Amino acid sequence: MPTFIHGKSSGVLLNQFDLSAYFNSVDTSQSIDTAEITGFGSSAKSYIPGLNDATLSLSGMYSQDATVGEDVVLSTILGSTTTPIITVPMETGTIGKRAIVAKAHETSYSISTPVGDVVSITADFNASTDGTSNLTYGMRSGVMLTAGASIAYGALAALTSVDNAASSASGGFANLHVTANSIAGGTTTIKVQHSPDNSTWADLITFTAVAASTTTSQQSAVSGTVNRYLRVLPSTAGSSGAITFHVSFARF
Amino acid sequence: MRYKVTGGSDGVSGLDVGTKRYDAGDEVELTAKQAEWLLEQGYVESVDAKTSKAKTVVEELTVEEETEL
Repeated sequence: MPTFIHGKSSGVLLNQFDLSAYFNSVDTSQSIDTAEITGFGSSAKSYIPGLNDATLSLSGMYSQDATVGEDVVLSTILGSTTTPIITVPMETGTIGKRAIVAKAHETSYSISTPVGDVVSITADFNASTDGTSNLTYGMRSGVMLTAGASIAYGALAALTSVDNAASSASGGFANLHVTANSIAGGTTTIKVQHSPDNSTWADLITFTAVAASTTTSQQSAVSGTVNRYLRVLPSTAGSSGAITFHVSFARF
Repeated sequence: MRYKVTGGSDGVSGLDVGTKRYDAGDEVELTAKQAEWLLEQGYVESVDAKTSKAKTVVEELTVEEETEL
């Protein structure tokens, strides 16, 4: 039987912010242009695929929260030269669940203030590769490799692996959102590893080390073989504190 | 067999074999089955193969010296 899920467990991770509580609807769309190549003598039209495109729309409630509120975040990234990194987990809190993994420019941000209802907001995004090396698409469906829980510095270790049932040959990309970080005394390194047998692991992606007590976001893309199993390996040189981070990976 | 961790395409990729961590430049003991995909994907290179190749070169130089005398 198919595994259906309820929308209530979705979330929104945007750069270093977990904005899940501010939104109540996410719409994503992925499409591809087709060019017609129908020739004389054909009985039906033929097409070849062209360029991929993807959009993402967020809607939710306006808040006046400072610094980490969605109004501050969405206002700041509108027109920013740094393309926002976005992950939409379809079922937050569980490793292996599907997610939308994206890098996308904010194209509009609207606030609606009705006299008889809650103040609401909408924001639209266009996925973009920005010509980034190995980044074939700006948005793809992928999987969550973390549960997004707070992990104490002394408990950082390899997380549960995710089985894709087969390897893939065209690379992929990962998003990292560090949404809370009180680890002090050293940097924290987060890697995505892959394996064909769930036993011997090699580093696939090593994100830039996260500075002590710093929240951040990163995206990294790779080419070539991505083996069947994926997992996250965090480690730290820090000596106290805890970190909350989210990693998703999408294969091309 | 013994293998050297190459660092992969980014030069910094390491391995985890069982509970042990091996970083780029480290040597690791692997079974043929364990090493197969790591060799294919460029994460390790055989230390033994490099050693035997180096010995062959030395032997060839020795032969040339004997010819000159």
